[in-house]
Amino acid sequence: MRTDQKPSLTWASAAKIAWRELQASRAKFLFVIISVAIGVAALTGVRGFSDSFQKTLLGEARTIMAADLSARMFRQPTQEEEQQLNVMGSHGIQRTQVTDTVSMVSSPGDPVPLLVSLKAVDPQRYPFYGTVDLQPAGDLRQVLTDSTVVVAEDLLIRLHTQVGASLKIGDSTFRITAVLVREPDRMSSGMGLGPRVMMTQSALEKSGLLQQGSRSGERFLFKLPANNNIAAVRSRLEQVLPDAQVTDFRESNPALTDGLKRSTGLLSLICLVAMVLGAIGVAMAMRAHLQQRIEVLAIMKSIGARSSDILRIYLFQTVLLGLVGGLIGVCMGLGVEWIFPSLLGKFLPLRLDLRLPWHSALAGLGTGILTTVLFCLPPLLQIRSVRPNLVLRRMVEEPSAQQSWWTRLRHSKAQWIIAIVILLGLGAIAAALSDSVVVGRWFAGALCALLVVILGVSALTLRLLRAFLSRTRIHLQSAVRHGLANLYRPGNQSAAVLAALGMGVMLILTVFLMQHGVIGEMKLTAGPNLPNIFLVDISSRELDGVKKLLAQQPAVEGDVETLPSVAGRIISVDGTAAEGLKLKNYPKRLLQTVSLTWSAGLPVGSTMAQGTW
Amino acid sequence: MIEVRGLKKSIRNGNRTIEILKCIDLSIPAGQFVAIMGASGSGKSTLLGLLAGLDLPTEGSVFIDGTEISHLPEDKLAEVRGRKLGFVFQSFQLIPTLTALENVLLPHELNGGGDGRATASALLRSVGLADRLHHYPVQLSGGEQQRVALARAFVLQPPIIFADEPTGNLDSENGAHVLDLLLQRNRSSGATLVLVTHDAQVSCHADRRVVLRDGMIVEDTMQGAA
Repeated sequence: MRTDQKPSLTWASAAKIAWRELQASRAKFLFVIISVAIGVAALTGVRGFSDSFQKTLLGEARTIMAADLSARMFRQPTQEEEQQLNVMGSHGIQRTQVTDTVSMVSSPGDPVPLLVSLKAVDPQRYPFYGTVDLQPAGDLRQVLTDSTVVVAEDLLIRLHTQVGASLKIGDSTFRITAVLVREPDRMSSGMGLGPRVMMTQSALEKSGLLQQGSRSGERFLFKLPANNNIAAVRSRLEQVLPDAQVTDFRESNPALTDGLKRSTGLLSLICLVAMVLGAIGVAMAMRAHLQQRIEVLAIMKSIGARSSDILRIYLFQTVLLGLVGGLIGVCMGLGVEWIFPSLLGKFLPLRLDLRLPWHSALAGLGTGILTTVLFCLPPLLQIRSVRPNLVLRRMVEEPSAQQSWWTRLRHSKAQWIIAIVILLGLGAIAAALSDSVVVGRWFAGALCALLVVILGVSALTLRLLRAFLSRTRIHLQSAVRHGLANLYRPGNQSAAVLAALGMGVMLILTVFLMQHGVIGEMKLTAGPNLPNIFLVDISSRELDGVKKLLAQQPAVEGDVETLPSVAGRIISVDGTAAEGLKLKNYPKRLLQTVSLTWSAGLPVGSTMAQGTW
Repeated sequence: MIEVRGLKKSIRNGNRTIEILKCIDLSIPAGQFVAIMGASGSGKSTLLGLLAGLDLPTEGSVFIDGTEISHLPEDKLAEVRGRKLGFVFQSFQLIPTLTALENVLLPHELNGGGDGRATASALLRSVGLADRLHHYPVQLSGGEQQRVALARAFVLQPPIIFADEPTGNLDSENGAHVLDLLLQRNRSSGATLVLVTHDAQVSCHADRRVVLRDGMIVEDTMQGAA
């Protein structure tokens, strides 16, 4: 007998046979392709839309900060700090300094001075992102020089002056060259105490306003080269400037981005469950297909095919179905992504910059193929147990028929291994989709528990049906009797169908409940009714009058919310005096002036991390 | 050379055990044409399946060229089937999604390696199907399908050919043609031919006739001696 290794069926031959079979059963496989496509479309659409939305938000976020990173401190950097900042600059990180302070300014013709929020910038570099809008329109680099300023319109009104006039700031006089309509980082500058006046850093120095002990805030804005690791730069910056409050652009709208992230993760998992449902359908279709092809499998085995040769054919077929379904799903998902903004247009404050979501498309495609293959593994591995003597007679004794269910359970090692592989695979996909290993673990565990419960209930239902039929058989019409009896005949997939139906109902219920939960949370954190005007420093005796005034304003919507506040000072924390506290990236001077507020109950939307209210 | 020792086969049907073959001993020398005969349910096809390694015996052993195949692992058994045995079945058993040529090529792709296209085409021509190479089984008559099956069985020139009622589904003319081709292969290449049949006329061509009844050999005669 020859002992040299028998050659395997080539992938090309396997592909040819697989393709021919697909063509011969188009209608059946169309269902499989649609099942995969719907799941992939949902996943790609949701993640693609979310991706575009987040990227748009992040793009806007850079504008809100006018930079990638910001370090805020209340003193000038030391010489050593300056040196280290310069080292960072040598790595392509651009830096500019913005000084915020308050000062009294006056118009030459008006002796009454006005308190203004003064901002000094380097117009050659500032802003890194966004634009400074001026009236008349102009380029800040040309309009703002060491002898000029740009001012907010309310300053012109309050000082009865105009563009072209002079303004006295400190020791110097500057010419007003434009009205400042919009500055990108207005929100990052903090609440202004007066109208904005913008000048150059050299002009601020020339004015002599900044003296030892002057109250001013320094913001260092950084622009990172493309593909630079922002977390690493931020960490470095926190080391270089330990007193500074360092923030990066990703934090500029945490409520919205966090809500979006949570919703995306949740929707992705729901899509994954939908995909699992589709995959159960795919597995059942593949099982039925293989059942129909069992004679062909036996023929192939009788002429020398190994199980691995046949497995290659059907694995190729499965991957091909997953791929085609996945590609169609990706196209549909892109459609969903493009349709979403038109459906949600009025709820979105931004014009979405839609782009081809490669990551989401690949994630959807990969998930579609992987889920299809994972769920088709059990029927595919059944190929090993096809006996070649089926070519001689249709009915072949099943070795398992004479064994108890417990023995069968113990002997189905391969099925157990596959079940574990499927669970691990789904857990890994869930973890990847939600960016959380914990979620992946819970998802796989919950799905496993759910399937066990649903399959148990399905089996029980079928047993009860059998018992019911055995008692009422002769009283039922023959069509009903045969129809019901068909549900528990050997080889029927009733339990799997019932499990899939059960999961489908549960999925719809989960989506309904989750939808309520997520919408409630989003309303609370990023709803359209959040306040956009704040009035501060209202004394208790003025409060009623202010409320009355606001009630008369038709433009003011909703109830006016009042929040008590009193200025305070932190003396000690846990017995440690404020001076001795070791704070990380939090200026100690901020401990000197803190705003205290109070409420009878826990404010809506707040949660207690520790202790009781 | 096929050697069978103490071969038994039984199956479970509910709580009952049905004995299909009861202690078969048989020796078939290389190149012999053996016709296995018997009534329906006598165990002919079961014996053929066990000889060809398509099924596992309950007891006993089957040796092919000195190698016991009854307890070989699946991959090794597939190798034996692929390289040493050729099969012809009553209902042709062609792969419906492959053309005649592709069906004949399949054993080559599974077991032979290399390009067997020329051999497969030549074989199909030799069985009178030169103009049917690219037809699918459904486009061929029963006789043509069986001739494709013969070409498939011959393509790797196996030393043993098993045929299960190869003429059972054919008219007399096609049946005679198929039988001629099988005999030709047996005589020209010296391949052992084990053929299960009901047809006494077919068995007349065999060197040896083995008759089964109720799972036992009740007659084993050499035709030359008859």
